Amino acid sequence: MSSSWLKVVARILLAVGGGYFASSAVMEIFCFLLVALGMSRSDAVTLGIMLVFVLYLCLLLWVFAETALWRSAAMFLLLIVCGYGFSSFVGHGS
Amino acid sequence: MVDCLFSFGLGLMLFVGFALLALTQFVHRRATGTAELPPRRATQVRLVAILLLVLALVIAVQNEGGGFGFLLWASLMSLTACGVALILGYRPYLLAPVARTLEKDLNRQTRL
Amino acid sequence: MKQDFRRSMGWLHTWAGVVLGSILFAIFWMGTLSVFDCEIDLWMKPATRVAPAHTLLPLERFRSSLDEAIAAKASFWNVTFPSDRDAVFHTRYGTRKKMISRDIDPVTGRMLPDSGTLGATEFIFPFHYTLNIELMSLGEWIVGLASMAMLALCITGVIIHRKIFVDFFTFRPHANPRRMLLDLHNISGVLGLPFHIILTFSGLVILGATYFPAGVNAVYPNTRAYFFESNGLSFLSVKHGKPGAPVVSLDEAAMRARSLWGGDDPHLVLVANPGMTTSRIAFFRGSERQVVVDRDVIAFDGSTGQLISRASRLTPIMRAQRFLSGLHLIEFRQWVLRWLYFLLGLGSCVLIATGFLFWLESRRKRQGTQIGFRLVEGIAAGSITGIILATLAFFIANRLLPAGARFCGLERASLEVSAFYLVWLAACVHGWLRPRQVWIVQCAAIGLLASVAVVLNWITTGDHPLRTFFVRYLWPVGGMDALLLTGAALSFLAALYLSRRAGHREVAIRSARGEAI
Repeated sequence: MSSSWLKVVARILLAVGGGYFASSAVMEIFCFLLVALGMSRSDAVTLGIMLVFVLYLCLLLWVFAETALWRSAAMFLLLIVCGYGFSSFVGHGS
Repeated sequence: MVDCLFSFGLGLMLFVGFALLALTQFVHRRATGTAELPPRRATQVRLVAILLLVLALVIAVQNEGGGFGFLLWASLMSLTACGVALILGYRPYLLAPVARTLEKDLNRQTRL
Repeated sequence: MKQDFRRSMGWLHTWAGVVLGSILFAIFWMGTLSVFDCEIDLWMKPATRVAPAHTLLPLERFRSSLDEAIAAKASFWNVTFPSDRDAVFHTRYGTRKKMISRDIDPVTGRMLPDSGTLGATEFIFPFHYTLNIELMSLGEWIVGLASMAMLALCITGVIIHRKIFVDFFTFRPHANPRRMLLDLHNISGVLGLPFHIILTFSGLVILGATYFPAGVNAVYPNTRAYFFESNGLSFLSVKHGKPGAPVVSLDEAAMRARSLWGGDDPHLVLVANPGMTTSRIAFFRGSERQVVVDRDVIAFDGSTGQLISRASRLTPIMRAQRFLSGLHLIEFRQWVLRWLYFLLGLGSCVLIATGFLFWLESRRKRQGTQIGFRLVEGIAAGSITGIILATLAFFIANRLLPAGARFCGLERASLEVSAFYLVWLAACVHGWLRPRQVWIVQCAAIGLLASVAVVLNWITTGDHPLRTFFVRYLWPVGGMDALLLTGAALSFLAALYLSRRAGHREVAIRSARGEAI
């Protein structure tokens, strides 16, 4: 009984928390790439903001639809690691 | 005042459009005491209804500008559709005349 | 797989709804009220019920207020111009410790008496997006989470609705309560779906930089820099400077701003760092005539009057974002649309309320006496009828409390807010203690309090509906009274309907048991 409760909590944490950090990582890379390709800073960030919520929603729903939690967890981990690696390589904006 | 009249007119147009759509559905035809429409007729009515809805958008944007026109149309869509649902729920006989006209044969000769 | 998918979406829909429904109802209720925030303010601050002026006062008339701000070492001072919905001027200045707001008569230029209330613009509207929880912006984050949940609820709702087109117009008010509630939930959900989704999404986008700072910080040093750059406010990022510099004539600067705008008046005049060598005078354009929020701002050097900057033309992406925020913040002047927004907002409240009620009704037979069920019922009552009662208590306290009232170290404005929270808590407790009659009693209470509010407005200000409907600038007050009375009538009808149904149920149960009726 308790193991299914744990699964539910894990799923919620993965969806809400993991999804959030994964979307955030994607947005970082997205905004940086757009600016590197020549878009103005404010345009890139504004577009990023408008799209990131759609991405977060999709990731949220995916975690709840997915039967095997490890797949979503792995994907999120990959995205977060990419984002973290990316930001430490590129550094903070100026 | 002109604003109100225009919006009222637009709302009326949308209301008729949604009423037509609703009255092609069996459940609502039964509520208004009319028989089910033949499939071809139902499709025709649905086409007319959708045309009305799109025309309303065009008129709204033409008169009020892109932003206001679109928002006015979208808001009235939700509210008029709701209105149709409420009328069909509480007083469906009010829409019976509309339901009956949809059954009328366009070709009068075949009626004789 | 399809079946599993629908089931998991159904599970998400139910639980997200039950857990976050209360917060969502609060957000949508306060948001709906905020549509008429200026009008509610007029009702709550009788001193501002003045006829609008035909000509705008020159800005130099506010020089004494500016000097007061300089003496208080304020970091900013601003003047809000009257508009179609707001007849008076507002001056505001803020130091690190406090914020002083004043209302100014638009004809005489004299300060109106302090109304001692937060009103709709400073309590109801901020409650909408912060839940009045300031600690570490926790409130904003909760609202953000609830908003994401709302989007998920809308999408999952569509997914689990099997016959969405067949049931498009289906509403069976005479069927059993469960069916009627589900029908109402489906109708308000599906027919209002564009509104629910677009308003929620646009709300998230408005606070987007707060919710996803990492992306902003990938290309900006901090989110403030992004906020300044995208709103043409880069002139604000200056060092504090040295005190003692004068501020040039505001009217001259205003004239130059007007000529740059082709004759349009500003909506807001801001003096940043007043009295310092780095002071700036900025004029903000109003957004009354369009949906897109216009943040066109012209800035001058405060001590020399030299033109510093003007916000650049909007790129298509910025324009899209401003359209989204514009359709959420509704700063435009279009009365039909404003009323439609109010009705649609109420529709969202109906959606959330019927969701709760349906969940309760479908589990009442099986779990009616369990603690979990009773907890949810208490919370549901507190979140729906409770928050409405709390809002009415807020209005009534506003009319009853004398000016300058103080109690236990709380000022008048805080006392009104305390009334709000106390009644809210009482409604929840009432729901836990007496679940059987909670809806009937609270509906009747709403009817009673709303009527009392209208009567109190009459007694304390002399403005009764028959008078307000004939005076143009008092229409907002009349509108508020009319809505209160309409709400009261609907609540009484609801209470009557529910008690009659409860009576029938009693009779049915008793006759089934073979008892005397």
